[in-house]
Formats: sequence, C-alpha cells, structure tokens
Amino acid sequence: MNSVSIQIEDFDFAGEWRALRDAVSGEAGAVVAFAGLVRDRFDDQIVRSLFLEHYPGMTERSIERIMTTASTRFGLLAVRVIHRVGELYPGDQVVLVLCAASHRAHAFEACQFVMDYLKTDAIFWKKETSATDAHWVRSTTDDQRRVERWKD
Amino acid sequence: MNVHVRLFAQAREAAGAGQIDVLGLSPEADVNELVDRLGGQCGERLHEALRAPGVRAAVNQEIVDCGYRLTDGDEVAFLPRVTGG
Repeated sequence: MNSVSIQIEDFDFAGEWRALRDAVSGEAGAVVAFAGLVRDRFDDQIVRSLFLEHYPGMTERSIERIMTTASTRFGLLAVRVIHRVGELYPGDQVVLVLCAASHRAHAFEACQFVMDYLKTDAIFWKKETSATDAHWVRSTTDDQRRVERWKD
Repeated sequence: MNVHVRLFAQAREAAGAGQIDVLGLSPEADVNELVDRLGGQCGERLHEALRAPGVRAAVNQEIVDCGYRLTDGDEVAFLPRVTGG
C-alpha cells in the first residue's frame, strides 16, 4: 500500500491524511504525517524561490526503495510520499511523508527515516535563488550524519 | 553508435540543454569516452561539470561506473550530487 507521486502542483495535506487513514483503518494505531516547507532564509540570505528538478522514472524508483526499506524495517502498514518539483516559494509545501503503523513508535521513527533518506538518496536537485545570487544546494554533512545513525 | 544524453542541474546549465543526442561514437565507447566527447561537443564548462566530484552516470536508469561499455540507443544520464527533501 505504498505510493509515491512527483508533481508540480500543491498537495492537500488533510485529504492525503484521510485517504491513508481510511486505507489502514482498524489495523493502524498511528499515522504520522510530515510536511516539509520552503524556508525564507538560508545562511542569513533571504530566499526568493527554490527550483526543484528530477529525473522521471529514476527519481520515483529511488523513493520506492526508501519506502520499501522503511516498510520492512519498521513493519509499516502503508507509506505515502509526495514530492513537488518546479518553482516553489517560501511557505510552499515541498514534501509530504505519511507513515502508518500498528504502534506510534514505529510510525514516528519510520517518518524520520524516510525524510532522512529523502535528503541523501532521492534523486532531486534544488536551486535556491536569493536577492543576490542563485546556486545549486549541496547536501550538508548534517544530512549525512542523520542517515549514518540509521546504519548502526 | 548513437546515444541519448540526459543532463541535470549544473551540468544541464553548463550545456545549455537537458537532452543531447551524441552521434557516431566508436562501437567500443564507454562512459569515459562519452564524457570527453561531450566536452568536445559542448565545451569545457560541461566537461568540468561532468568530472566534478560525486557525479554519477546512469545508463537506461541504472547507475554504472565510468568504464561501462555503451550500446547503441542507450540513454545515458549524468547525475550531480542530489539534494532532496
């Protein structure tokens, strides 16, 4: 019951949550939902916009791999990921992760696991435009550290 | 041998195009040879972008190493370091 969507348009957070809850109703004891938003600042620079690019096909598969690993590791009932691409602005929703599990601890952990790996393994490129320049965002050592902690 | 190249992010900007057809590669050509050919065809800026640390190649959407031998009609993508989420 895993599914992934890559899309330009915004997503309906509450609608997605309801759909997943209905799909796992009865079995699930918890659905953890996370939405990532575009911030208006990066390293003290005002961010005007964020452009996201992907490689259709390969990007979906890179996310499916993360979802499958999370499902097995945390015994999830369902995972839903939506990742937006194109031109986004501060306050916009970028990414949605929903994880359903029998118990809350696994749903919480799985949501963090999926988000951490989306940062390092999902095939996206982000270009940030500020008042003074535009640059391709690099993954940070903090992102790498977050993924490393799942490898113990 | 002809291949279809997909470029993203910095590499796409360096080439000024996201998709390029590379024609007349030698029948033995590998990914390395394609990178050099793209540099010759599209300029040093693209060559540098493709040789930058962390850039991976994918043939028909599967990651390969730079010595991978290409086949006529392959889609070859160059993936700079990713940043999702």
